[in-house]
Amino acid sequence: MSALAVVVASAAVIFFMRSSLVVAFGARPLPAGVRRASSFVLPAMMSALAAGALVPAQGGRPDASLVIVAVVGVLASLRFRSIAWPFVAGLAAYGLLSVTHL
Amino acid sequence: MSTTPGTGARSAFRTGVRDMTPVVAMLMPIGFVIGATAAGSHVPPLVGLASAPLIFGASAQLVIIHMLDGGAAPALIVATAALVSARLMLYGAVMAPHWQKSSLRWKLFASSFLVEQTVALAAPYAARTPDAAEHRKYYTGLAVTLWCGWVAATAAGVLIGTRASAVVPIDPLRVLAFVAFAVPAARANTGACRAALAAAAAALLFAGLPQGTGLLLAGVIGVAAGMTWSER
Repeated sequence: MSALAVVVASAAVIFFMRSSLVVAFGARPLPAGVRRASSFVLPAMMSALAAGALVPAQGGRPDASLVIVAVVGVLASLRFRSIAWPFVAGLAAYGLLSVTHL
Repeated sequence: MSTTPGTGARSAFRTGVRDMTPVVAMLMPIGFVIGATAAGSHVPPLVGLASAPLIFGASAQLVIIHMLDGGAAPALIVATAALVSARLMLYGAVMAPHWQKSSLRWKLFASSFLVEQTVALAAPYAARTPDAAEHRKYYTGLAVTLWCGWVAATAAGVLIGTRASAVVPIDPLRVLAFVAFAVPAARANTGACRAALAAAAAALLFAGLPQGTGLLLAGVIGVAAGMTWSER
């Protein structure tokens, strides 16, 4: 199986996963439990992804400088309610940390 | 950023493009590094390039490139990519209520672009606008902008990225890309806030689990926490 075929097969499986619930609930109303649960998916997954990104790929404790970047990003998001400001503030904090070697 | 609905279907597409543009700007270095990773591996450049439009997901693309480079069995690579992408099914559950009256063709088209960034912007917009056509235009604007930016960034990484990737701060960008969407989502209500906190704690606790299973588990725990505490 060629490398390109592996990518195409993976893409097909991932497409099935993306579309399965959208199509499955296409013609009938979502069960109340699923509808309620779906409202918590976004905050839960985004937070899990953010927290998971703090830990090095090989595992272990969260990287201290990334934790500071994340905290600055959270504060900027709370203060400015904008998608762009967490990036600006967080990268500024990271630059400052890199310069001062903290 | 403007995500105010009610501006009409025609301008909704442009609004989607405008809302996604700053996000794409911040995500492009990540796509660039993934392309550079492919270029620095034994994977053919065409395959690294094809992974962006076909897979359209950073973590799955990285896993596939790494495993291809390591000579893993094809079935194992496909299964691992599926496991890493399992959370995308949950995003389908988020968007399904908003697309129920849309055609099957639209559902299949829109599903192709289900990722964190499109869902995070499209779900609140759809909840606020009663006009399904306007929401579809807005989502298309989001999806097309992100897809084009992602493919362009990956292509640049494949072509010129092996040296430049060393100076791109990939780790803080990855953290901030999720923080920027997690905070607004958590602010929606008390249940969402508790779901976010529980999921973050679980993600740190289960960070050592292999191939994204810890992440999926953390998401499920977060959803359960949100449902449990919002009932009280």
